[in-house]
Amino acid sequence: MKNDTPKGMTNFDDLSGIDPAVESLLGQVQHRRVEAHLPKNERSRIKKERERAEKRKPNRINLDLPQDLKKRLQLLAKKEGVPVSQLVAFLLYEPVFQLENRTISLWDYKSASGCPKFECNLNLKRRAEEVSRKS
Amino acid sequence: MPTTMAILNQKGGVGKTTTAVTLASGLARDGYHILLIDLDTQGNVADSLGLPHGDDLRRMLSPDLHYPLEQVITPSGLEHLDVIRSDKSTTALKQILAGVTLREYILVDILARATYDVILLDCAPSVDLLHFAALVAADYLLIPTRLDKLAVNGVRDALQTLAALKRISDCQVLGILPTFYERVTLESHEQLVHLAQTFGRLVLPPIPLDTQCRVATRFGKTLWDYSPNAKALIGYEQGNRRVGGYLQALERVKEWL
Repeated sequence: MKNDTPKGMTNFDDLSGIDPAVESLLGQVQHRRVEAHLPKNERSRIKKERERAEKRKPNRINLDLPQDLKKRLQLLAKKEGVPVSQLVAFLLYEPVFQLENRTISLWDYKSASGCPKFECNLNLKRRAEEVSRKS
Repeated sequence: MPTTMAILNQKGGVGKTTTAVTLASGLARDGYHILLIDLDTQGNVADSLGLPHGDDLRRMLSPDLHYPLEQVITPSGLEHLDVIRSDKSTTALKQILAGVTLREYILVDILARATYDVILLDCAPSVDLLHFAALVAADYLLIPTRLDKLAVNGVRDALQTLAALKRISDCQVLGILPTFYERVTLESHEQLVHLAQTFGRLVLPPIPLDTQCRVATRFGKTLWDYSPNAKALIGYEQGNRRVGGYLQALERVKEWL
């Protein structure tokens, strides 16, 4: 059980640096203090913005997209004058429905993943090539 | 060999027992075999776990009794967690031990034979013989501190005591754990800034002030059982993650094991 690698400190001459979690907490408190000195209308605007962000939280998901796809989505969203997140949601409905009903399959795109969290990875490059060939 | 961790601050009322009980029960929940030893005459570890007071410590350490460890441990009622309780008899024990040679090593010899993953020593808020014995026996030291001037002085004293014992102790400081932190109070914030400026990376994310800690103690339950969503456990929300709280402290402790 005992880990022989020294992890703690025995010498207190150099204590420079702050734990990142402590630093971020202090930063947040500092930010709030600065905010408390803003004019009332500015404070209420920030408060409303924070509340809106809080409400959006359950809907939020972080995605890693291939760079080219991200750029194309951003261009399209700009062209259509809509938020990227709404555009992605709009485009996703059909394939999600198809996947649920097994009218499409991921089988051909799957390869074993070395990561313990997921069994497989998807070959997105192949998917991009196939879609561009078909269209 | 078990990993031994002392939880110590020479100032009282800084959350040593709450920290010891919460970390011990948290580690036990995660499957580690834990022995929690109360070195304080107040016997608050037993109170916090809803156990009656007992003289387990005296029976184990007293030269005329010298019960083996296995005969003095008390099951806490929680899986994987045993305790050695203390009570007022510890005061008499300290007087008896004052005449014993090599008394600073009294815990080292006993704990070396223990078959636990982690041993936590909940120290008394005073500089006494058991305090030194804990620092000599411990591999690691965790210093909880309230965010006020006097408690921060206690941190400095604890570090000085450890430095004074350098010849006979290999104990390493794992961190200073700020407790009773109030994010909305300017004083609490400034004391945390001061602590971080003074002790740098030794300062761990703070434990928020939370009444649930006191209520859980009153009912003799651990925070994990009484109020699993207590702020003192889960910390503050920051973006999409949480900062501070015993949950984060527990993760840090597990990294050190």
